[in-house]
Formats: sequence, structure tokens, C-alpha cells
Amino acid sequence: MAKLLAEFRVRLVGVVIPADKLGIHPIVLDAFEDAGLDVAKRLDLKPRSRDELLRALRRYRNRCEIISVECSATSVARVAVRDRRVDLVYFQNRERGNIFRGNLAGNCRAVLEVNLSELAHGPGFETALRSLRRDIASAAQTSVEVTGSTNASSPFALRSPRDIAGLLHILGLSIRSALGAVSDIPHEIVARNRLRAKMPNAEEGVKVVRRAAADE
Amino acid sequence: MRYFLVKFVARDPISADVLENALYGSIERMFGKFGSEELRTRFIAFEESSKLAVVRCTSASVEKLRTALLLMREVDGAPLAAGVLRSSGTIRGLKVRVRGLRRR
Repeated sequence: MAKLLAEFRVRLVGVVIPADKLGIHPIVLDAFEDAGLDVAKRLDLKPRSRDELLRALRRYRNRCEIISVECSATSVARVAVRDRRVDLVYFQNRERGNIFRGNLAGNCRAVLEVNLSELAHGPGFETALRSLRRDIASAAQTSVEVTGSTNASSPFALRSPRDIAGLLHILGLSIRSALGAVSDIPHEIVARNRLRAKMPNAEEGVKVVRRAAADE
Repeated sequence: MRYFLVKFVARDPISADVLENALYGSIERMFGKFGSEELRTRFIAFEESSKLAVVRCTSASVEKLRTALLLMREVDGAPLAAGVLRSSGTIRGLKVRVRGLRRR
């Protein structure tokens, strides 16, 4: 997988780490690093309630570089879209129920993740496509940032970031936003969280320009 | 026209004809018969050992071809991945880039 990612000229890869293994350095990360990739630890949260989400954020925020929340319930979605400790929010493709639009989209501070693993030719393809188009339209209307991911667990699920941008463009994003969705946005998330881990007291918007001679 | 160097990832050896049909099928399912005509896609060459192919489409439909390639997930029931490694406006330019790719 690492070799193929390098061939696709990927520079940064988010590797999903189970919550109980966040403290250690899994061997799988070395394989990606050896291929010249910048690896970011990613935690996928699937909370069933608002309290479960808040507990998980308190516990794991400083231990990983990317936190993604699957919004399976409206109560979870309402918190996840607003909490600045959440980097990515993901809504399962469905026609009704907890979907990304209206109030949720208007209050969203996190980046909306479009998961391409759900999109495959076959039964349900049109529904999934419609659902993604609707999510992207809601995001564009409310200036919510969008990113695309493959959620790959095998080399056959990997895709080139530029091809993902092509799909996002076909689904309704402008070409500029689509390219940003697979390049600038993921890099910004990781850079911001690395800075936050290094300087936990720095507030959002604070940037270190240089240090005083006495500090060095 | 725009030319693409496409990398296919498959477990077993795969023939050019099978891949060509799978690509045209993916384009047609995504954009319909009329839309696929607009792409003017042509499967120009395929090297079985490296699973690299050269595919062509019109300059205006670059994103559509990329999307069709992205949505290719299986062929004859076996899993498959496809991704564009390089693109060029001329086939000659693409050959230069392939040579650069092989030298690395």
C-alpha cells in the first residue's frame, strides 16, 4: 500500500489507529514512513451519544493528529459539527434521518468528509451519488470545507488524490475547492494539530513567528 | 486531447481487452451513452507486466475520465484499482514522463 501511495505521489497519509493503541508507535507506521510518506495518526470515533463523544474527545484529542466523528445520531452531529476538537465529520449516505443540511451545515466548523468507499457501481449507486451531491451542495452553500478520503484497508481501495478531486468536482465542487480538498485542507488540519500538540496553551489563530534569544 | 498514464492494480494477470471493456463500462454507467461519446475515450496501449496503460480523452472531459477510473472497483469479480500516474497533452510528452518514471 505504501509503495502504491508513493506512486500516486501522495505526501501525507492518515492511518486509522484504534483508540487503545494511540500511545504506542505501531509498526505499520514505519512502512509508510520508509516509503517517504508523512504519516498522521487518525482516530475514528463512532459515538452513540453526545456524552460519549465529549468523553472521547477529552481523552484522545492530544494523542492523535486527526479526529474524525461518524455522526450517526442527531445529538452527536450537533456537537461534532461545532466542537473545534473535531477535525472531520462524516455522515453516512442515506436519504432520510440524520443528514448534513440546514442547521447542521450552517453551524459546522469541522471539515465534511466524503467517503469514497461507499461509492461503487451496483445497487444503491444512484442513491449514494445523490446523497453525496446533496451533502456537497449543502457544504458549498454554507462555506463548509470538504475533503475526500478512500477509507482504504487494501491496495485495491486506494485511489490517487487527483482522481478523488476529479470526482468531487463532478459532484459539484469547484475545481479549485476540489483540489484544495485533497491537498491544502488535510495538510492544514495536520499542521494545526501538530502545533497544538507542541504548544497546548496556544489559542486558535496564534502563530509562532520567532522565539526570543533567551528561549532558544 | 489529453493522454493519461494509468496504473491498474489487480491480483491476477489481466488482459487489455478486459480492462478496456471495464473502462468503457464504467464511463457508460457514470455518464450514460451520450455522455460517454463526448469523452471520446481511447484505450491506446497496455503493458501486462507493469499493468500500465495509456488512455486518451478530450481536454474538456479530463475530470470525467478520472472519475470513471476511480469508480472501477472490480473486473470479472476480482478487485481492481486504477489511478492516473501522469497526464500530458501529447503522447510524446507522456513517453518522456514514463521514461523518467522508470529511471527512478
